[in-house]
Amino acid sequence: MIPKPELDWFAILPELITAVGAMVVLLVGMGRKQWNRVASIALTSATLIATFVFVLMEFNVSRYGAFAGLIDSDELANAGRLIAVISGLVAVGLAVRGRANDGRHGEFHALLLTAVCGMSLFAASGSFVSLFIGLELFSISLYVLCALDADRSASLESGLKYLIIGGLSSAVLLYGTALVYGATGSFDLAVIGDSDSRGILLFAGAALVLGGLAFKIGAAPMHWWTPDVYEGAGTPVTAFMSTATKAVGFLVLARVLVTAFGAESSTWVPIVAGLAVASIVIGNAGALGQLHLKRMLAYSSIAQAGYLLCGIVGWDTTGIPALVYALIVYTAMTLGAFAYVVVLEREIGRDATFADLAGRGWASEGRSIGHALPAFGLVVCSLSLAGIPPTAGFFSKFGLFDGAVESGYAWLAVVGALGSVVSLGYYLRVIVELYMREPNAARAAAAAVNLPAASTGDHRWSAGTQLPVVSGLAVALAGATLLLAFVPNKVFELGCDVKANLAQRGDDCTNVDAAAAPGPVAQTAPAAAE
Amino acid sequence: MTLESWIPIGMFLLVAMMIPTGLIGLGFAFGARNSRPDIGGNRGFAFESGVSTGHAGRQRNPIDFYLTAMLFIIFDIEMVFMIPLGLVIQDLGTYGFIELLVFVGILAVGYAYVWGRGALEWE
Amino acid sequence: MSIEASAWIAYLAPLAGVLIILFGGMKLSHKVAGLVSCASVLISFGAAIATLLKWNSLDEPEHGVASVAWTWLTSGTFRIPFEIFIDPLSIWMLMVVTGVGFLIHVYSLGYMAGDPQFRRFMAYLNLFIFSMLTLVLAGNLAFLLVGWGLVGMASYLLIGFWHDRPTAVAAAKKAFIVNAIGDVAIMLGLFLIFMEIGQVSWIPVFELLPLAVEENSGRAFMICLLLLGGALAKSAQLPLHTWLPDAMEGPTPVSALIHAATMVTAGVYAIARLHPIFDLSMDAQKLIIVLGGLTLLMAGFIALAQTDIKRVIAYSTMSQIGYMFVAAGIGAYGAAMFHLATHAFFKALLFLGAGIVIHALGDEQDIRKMGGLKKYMPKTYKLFLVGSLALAGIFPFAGFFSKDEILAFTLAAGDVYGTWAYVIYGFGLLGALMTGLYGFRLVFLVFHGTESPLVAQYGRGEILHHGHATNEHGEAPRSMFWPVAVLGLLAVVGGALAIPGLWNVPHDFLHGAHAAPTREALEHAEFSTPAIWLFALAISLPIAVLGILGAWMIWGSGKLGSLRTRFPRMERAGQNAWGWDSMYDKVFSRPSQALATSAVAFEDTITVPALEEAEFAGRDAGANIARLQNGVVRFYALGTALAFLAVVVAFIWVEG
Repeated sequence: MIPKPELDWFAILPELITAVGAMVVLLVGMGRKQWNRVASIALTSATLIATFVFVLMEFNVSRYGAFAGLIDSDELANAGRLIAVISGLVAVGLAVRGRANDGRHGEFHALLLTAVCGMSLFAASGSFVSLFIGLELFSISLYVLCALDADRSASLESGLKYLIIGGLSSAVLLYGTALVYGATGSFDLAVIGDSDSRGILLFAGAALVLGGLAFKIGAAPMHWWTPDVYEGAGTPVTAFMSTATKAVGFLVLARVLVTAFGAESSTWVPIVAGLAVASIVIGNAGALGQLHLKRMLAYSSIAQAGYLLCGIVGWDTTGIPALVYALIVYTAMTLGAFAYVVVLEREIGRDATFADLAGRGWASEGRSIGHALPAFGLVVCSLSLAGIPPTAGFFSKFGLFDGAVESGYAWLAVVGALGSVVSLGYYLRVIVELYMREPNAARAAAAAVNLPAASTGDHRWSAGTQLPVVSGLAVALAGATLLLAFVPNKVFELGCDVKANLAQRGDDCTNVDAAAAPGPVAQTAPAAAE
Repeated sequence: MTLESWIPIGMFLLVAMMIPTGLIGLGFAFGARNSRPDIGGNRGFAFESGVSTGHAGRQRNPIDFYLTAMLFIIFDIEMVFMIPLGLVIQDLGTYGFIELLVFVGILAVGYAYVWGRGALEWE
Repeated sequence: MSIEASAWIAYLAPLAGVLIILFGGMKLSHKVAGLVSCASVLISFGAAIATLLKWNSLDEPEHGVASVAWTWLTSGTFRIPFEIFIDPLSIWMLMVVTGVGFLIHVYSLGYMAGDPQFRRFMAYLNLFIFSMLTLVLAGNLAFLLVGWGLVGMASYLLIGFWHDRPTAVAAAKKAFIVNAIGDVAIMLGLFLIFMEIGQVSWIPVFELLPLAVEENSGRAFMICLLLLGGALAKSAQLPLHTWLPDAMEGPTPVSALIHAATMVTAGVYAIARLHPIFDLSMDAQKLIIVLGGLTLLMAGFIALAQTDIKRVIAYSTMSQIGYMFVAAGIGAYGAAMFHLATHAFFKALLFLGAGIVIHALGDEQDIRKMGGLKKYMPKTYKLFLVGSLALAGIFPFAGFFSKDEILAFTLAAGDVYGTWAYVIYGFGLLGALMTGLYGFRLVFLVFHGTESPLVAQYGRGEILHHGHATNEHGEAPRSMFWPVAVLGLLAVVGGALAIPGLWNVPHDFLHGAHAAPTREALEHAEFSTPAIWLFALAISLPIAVLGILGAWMIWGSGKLGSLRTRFPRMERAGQNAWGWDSMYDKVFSRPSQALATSAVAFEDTITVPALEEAEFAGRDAGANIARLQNGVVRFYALGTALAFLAVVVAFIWVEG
């Protein structure tokens, strides 16, 4: 008799919920009738909300080493899960009635759920095995999601490119894992971290693992896929992919680098800094010349990955809390920007360029406040992406650069700041177009001609459809971007827990709090007097 | 750490690269060659997998064949997993049996999907 | 309900009003919007009273209660909480702002009725109350700054409310620019404090700063000077006073609320709030006293010659705030806050009374076109008279007690600061004379004398209002009248809060470590007794009466002849507001415009082409990067593989 193993199902409950949900949605969404469509949307939302509630309830519960060391479910995992679930919900909202005609709503929603499931497992993985399974689960889902608009050649192209290059990077990651296993004899991140092996195999393995994960977060110089894939995929998919993948990718990158390769940090920190510089330079320079909004956002996401990497560079000081805050802010503002792109695409019936933004910031005849407000949402998100003070983007960037400076990488912060200055060149153009240009059909049409042929013409939205849920999301996400500026500290505290997760289990945030709180005045007074 | 210590890694990489290049190279060296596809030989055609190439490209290839074959392989491979499970099902007890049912259930969902989508219909 | 809860309700209720009106938008009728707006301020006022009662029932009220909503930002030892600070000083201001604010809200219902932008106006007024409460309740340097900026913004929005009037827009801009100078100054001052001690909350700041900064050192003076710069601009004191008269372009309730009762006194509040800092620099104190003294005198002279009814009251406000600055400078914070409150009552009363007159006469503000209104508006006349008597400081009206307390302290301050302080006392007395003169000049010119053609027209109900005859010829509408009546009552009895020799409520109430009613040095001054207070009263009361008599002689009976013939030069100077505007125009505005012109030229010839070059270069670089993105997946795979290789090589390089 083989004994029944002790399994902590709660450690993977979010994954279980989404997996079951995905299967149900796949079956329910098979029909092409109206109710099938509505039911698949409703069930997907319900599944995601259930996952959300569960993760929130169990947020501060750490379950380490579940499933024979495969799962480490802690604040870091839960933070990643929450971001993935929220991005998923927003993607569902943005895609509402987006595929009314092709009958692929079941696939879309089921794949979205499996992707969330994979990300969730990825974020909670305590070993390279579960990490790789999670990675493949969400990657394969995303490959198909990108290619789901099969009647649009750009979409197929996007899926295919992502598949080929993604396959390459998965192989590299796997190869790195194998080398690390060879060096330490374990897949478990904590065991690898504890082993005193500092052999050549470990370094080579760490390099390849870092490369493979850097690919997933879209950092340069592994960024080649991003512009084409982001541009070709349906915009809700792009929005989901660019936020959720990046967020869990960064969290897992932090976990792998710190937990497994913490002892080698003197080696990888300069390399991560190098990746950051490459991303900031390539992302910002590439975004400057773009006419196509989604492509601009793709390059901007490369640049943002560069800023976020600064948080990992500063991992040993204040970088990790700043990274967690920045990831949440990044999710809100990027989703907000993409939400407005969806609003725009639905209105004009094709991919959007800068010229299409002209004059849309104003409420005028035929354009109510309901049109102008989402456009203002885009302004807020752009300013936040650029890091202009009253928005959350400023505080997130400030925190990231501060972490880099604290860890002795002041020059990196300087590069980041310069990159931010350059980024104004394209973020402010959004505002210029929205408020200072007259709408001009001829100009818009001329700009649209310059799009890659695949992106024009055959399009999934029929022109002129405007949905309150999409506009509402654009406004709400912009509002979230503003609100986040009021609570940086709450999120920093969460980030503190995440840092404790990385450093060593059991350690918590209290010592950080003690340092931050103003001591009794009587005690600090003499110090100030000196 | 000296640069020399990286040599094993380099050799490892070299061997790894030799496998695919070797495979391609061997095929290149020993395979039947015909540089003129228009006068016969299979190299010039899209498929070398044993399907008749008699009517080069003019005939419509039955896509259903590939789809069904692919689905067969997927389900086949997954079902192979049931053989070892079946061998020890006595030892696994009720818990193992439920696990088995869950596994079959997941496969059944996939099957239902494939069926419902009409992928098994041969036209 | 705890004291924190009531203070938070008082603080947030006006914001709720703003949000309701904002999101209600066109769905709310004017009536509902007005109701929401007034109700939110009334709730705030009620909560303020509750806070006051709670404070008095606290067993041992120490320095104050800091209530932290949440910690906004932490980085190392640097921590900015979102907090409010409840102590006697902030409760005092809370009462004044919400109380007077509520009355003016009600008044606005009538005054602004029929304006198509009525909702926007009420939302702005609520926004202002919220901003002002942010300023007075702020628990740390950072949020004081936020409040400081917010009131400036609300003031800007309200001065320029009638944005189709170019003069209003220009005035709003001017107010904004002058205040921006002050904002920068106070911001630098707060940064300096922060640099010294690395803390932002009041209690640590007040306890640590005296330890970190040496008394009477250059650094202390520098900090105080910067803070003072902000206070001077906000309170329209020399030399940053020029925006206030122009700000009268805003609707009259705005003038009453922002530019008389509350926002302009923020400078006085800031000095009282930050007094542990000002206590560190004798030189800064002297500077405050001198500037306050000069302002009160100069504004009095200018008020005598102005012809616009609102501008006269605006200069009078400037002059009265001068008194408060003198009080704050010599360290009589209790007296300053007392005068702040009574001034809020009687000056709001005067403004609202003037508003009734202006409203009745079809937006006419020139006092030369008025006269004899008493016949048609007997009640308004009586209230205006009460306001003027309180302003002049006649027993037993409110101004009598509060102004003379300041004068008494000035007299006592001679002990601390030396004989020149007696000169300031002289200024104060002269200012009291002026107050009587210009205050009753208004009364006599507007309400007494012969009926002007315009007033006669009003009597016949023929005033054109928004293009059509109103048929009004009596008193103001009820919603406008009652708030004025309540203010009138307060102007009569408000002074009873402090009666020399018997009790001094403001002084006792403000007693607390960080809201000391008087600076220690002054407390020990030889003259600080009720006796000297009574002595000061005995001197200043006759002077105020003399001022009123003088006004009667000149403008009432005309026995002395007009100012124009007797002091033509003074008259002309006063009408030009002593030439400050043209001076600033010559010294700052023109040169900066010239600078701007040359900067534009420079930009056109050098900067823009250079930037364009840089932009082209940037776009070229971008285009090159984009060109690499050729869409060929083989190429991408190669690039990605090379990137992986690069990471491995980098590992070897860093490690090896």
